[in-house]
Amino acid sequence: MKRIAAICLALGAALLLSGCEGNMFSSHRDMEHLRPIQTIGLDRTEGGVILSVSSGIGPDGGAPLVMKTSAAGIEPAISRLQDYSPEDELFYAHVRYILIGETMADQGVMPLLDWAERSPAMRMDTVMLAVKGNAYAAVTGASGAKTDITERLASLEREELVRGLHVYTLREAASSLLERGSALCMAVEQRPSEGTVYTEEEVTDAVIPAGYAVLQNGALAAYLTEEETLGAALLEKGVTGTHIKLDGCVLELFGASASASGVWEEGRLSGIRIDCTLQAGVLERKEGGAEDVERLQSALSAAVESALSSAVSLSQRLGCDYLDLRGAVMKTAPTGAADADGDWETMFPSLPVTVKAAGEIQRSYDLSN
Amino acid sequence: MKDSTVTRPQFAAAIFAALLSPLMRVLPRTSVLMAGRGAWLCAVPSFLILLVLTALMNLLRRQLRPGEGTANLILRYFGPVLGRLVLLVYGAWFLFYAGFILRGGAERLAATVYQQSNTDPFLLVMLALCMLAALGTLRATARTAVILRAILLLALALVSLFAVSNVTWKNLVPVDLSDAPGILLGAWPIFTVGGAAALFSFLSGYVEPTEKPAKWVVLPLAIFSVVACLLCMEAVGTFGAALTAHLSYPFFTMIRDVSLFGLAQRIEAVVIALWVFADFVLCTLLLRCAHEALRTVCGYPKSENLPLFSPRRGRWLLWLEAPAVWACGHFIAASSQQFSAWSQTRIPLLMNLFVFAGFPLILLVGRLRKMLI
Repeated sequence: MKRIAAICLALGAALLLSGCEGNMFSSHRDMEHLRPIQTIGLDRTEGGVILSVSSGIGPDGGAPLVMKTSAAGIEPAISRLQDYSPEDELFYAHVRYILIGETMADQGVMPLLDWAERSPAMRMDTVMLAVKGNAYAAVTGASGAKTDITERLASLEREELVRGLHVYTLREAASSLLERGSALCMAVEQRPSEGTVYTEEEVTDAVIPAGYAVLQNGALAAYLTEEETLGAALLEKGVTGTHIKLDGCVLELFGASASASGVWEEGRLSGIRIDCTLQAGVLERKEGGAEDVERLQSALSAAVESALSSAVSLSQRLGCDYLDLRGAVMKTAPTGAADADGDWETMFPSLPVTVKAAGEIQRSYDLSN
Repeated sequence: MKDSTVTRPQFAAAIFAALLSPLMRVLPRTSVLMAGRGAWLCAVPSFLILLVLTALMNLLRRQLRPGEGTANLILRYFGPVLGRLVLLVYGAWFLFYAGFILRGGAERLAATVYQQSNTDPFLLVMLALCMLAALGTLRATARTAVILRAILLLALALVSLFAVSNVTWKNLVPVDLSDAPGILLGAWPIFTVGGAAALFSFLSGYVEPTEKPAKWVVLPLAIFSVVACLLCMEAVGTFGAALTAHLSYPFFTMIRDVSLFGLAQRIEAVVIALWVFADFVLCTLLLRCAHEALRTVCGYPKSENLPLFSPRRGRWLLWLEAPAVWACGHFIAASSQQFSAWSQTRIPLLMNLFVFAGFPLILLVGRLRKMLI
């Protein structure tokens, strides 16, 4: 009798746990009706947000689902988009990219980061990109019948990784903003596609990298120039594969990184020193001229010193330590040093910065030698 | 008559699996709030404090007669009236804490997977399952816990392995002497959770006697400390101290980003669901502890080998425990914010009172009694 009762109970439980439609589990989803969203664009309006989404190319090569709506907040916008797509269930568990439009970045990304952390659907390792302009324009403009924004961003991410620039995630942005009140994220801009000469397929807009953007207290503080981006990248994670044009030659940096330390005099912080070591190879050279390795090395060092100086100088001008110089400097504080950590905000903008780069050309493919 | 004795390894497994539930609730957030990036070192002082507690519990264990648990000892030391009062207070704490644990499990599911859900269905289902286990033998619960501990540890190990690529080592160092006060403070939530193991000495009467009890305590304690260290290290390494302190369940948020070689993602629901096992073991043990306290108050003998639903020999007390636990779980807090307040301050303080003040007091009373009589 006991066994029969146990078997009946087990069968009853099995029926409840089947996952078939209409059972007690509200999170049930039919696989064939799921439409995974891979890219989200967010812009701010006066009354709320503009949410644009793209599903990416389907596994059968089908056209992407690209949608846009506005609502009072992100979740209401998600609900509204779902109303517009009754045949597919929009599924946000595999979002790869979040594009932040200028209007959203100007007013602050902290609400977005809060939402991403709280939403069970979102992942914190989703790549966050700041768009120069409107995010919805980039999402819709870069999508067509055979391509979409996700493909373009995936390609851009691969390229940037090859070039050695770091592509920041929501987690890194949130962590940086909370730790030091500022963060870096990659910036992109929408451009008419210039590269395509002839194709049978429709031509959509390109989304190209545009250096880094600086977020200060959650809001957009500045876009870095190409030179500042190189300096920031060297200090943040180091770069590999970046190209530098010098005196008619094209060099490729590999294994380049910079580190900051404090200059301490009698236990007081009197400056910041940045040391950079870099190796480079010559990719292209001036027509006819033999390479002067020593001249190139000093030009390379000067170029990198300038890049580092400009990145730090912007940081000081903004009063925003987006390079975490404070952390690096405090690591080198001698025992019993004065409390520079507490005075950092006031000291930092006027601290003298010394930059020293030692470039080395390791490879040259000069056929004439 | 069937042998209902629990072996030492089984008992150690049950306690270990049970403690993983509160450990995940308080860590790494509470330690990070106090110790910052040095939270991963908090497990060291907490290990030392728990070793002292182990030595104290060993002194108490030596006073036990064969088949006795702490409840019998309290009755002997404090006398029939005061002893019964102390046992009622401990019994009430067990039931209250069981309700808190069930509510905590429900809040965890509502915060991470079933967002904005009502917590009552989770609470009721878990309570029903724990009641079924509590009505059975402790041996069955402990044998189940051996398997559950292995599953939970395997899940922890795999998640830690796959999450290590997201760790930024810069978030963990440098840690210097100026961080020491914070690290010592940050040990508080860890040894509070670990100290809860002492409460299960109420079940000592069901555990086989051993000549080397320390062997079954020190190793699990060391593993417990390593797990605590690892939890803090990975969460702080991944999110940084400031972000970790903002997250409700940093470990489960971290799992959202885990990818198994790019073949599988979004495994967090499975891992979160596994922690229901830890809640199940802890709540079952607490129900049994409460039963031991109340049974001793009423003077009922042990009732291990009775049929499952038999109310004889004080088993009806277990049926009274269920509504009390449900009421505690349901009414403890009207919102998750109120529940967090309980979780962060009041519950740890009460736990410290019952463990780090209560057990030394029992020992002291016993010593004084011996001196006087």
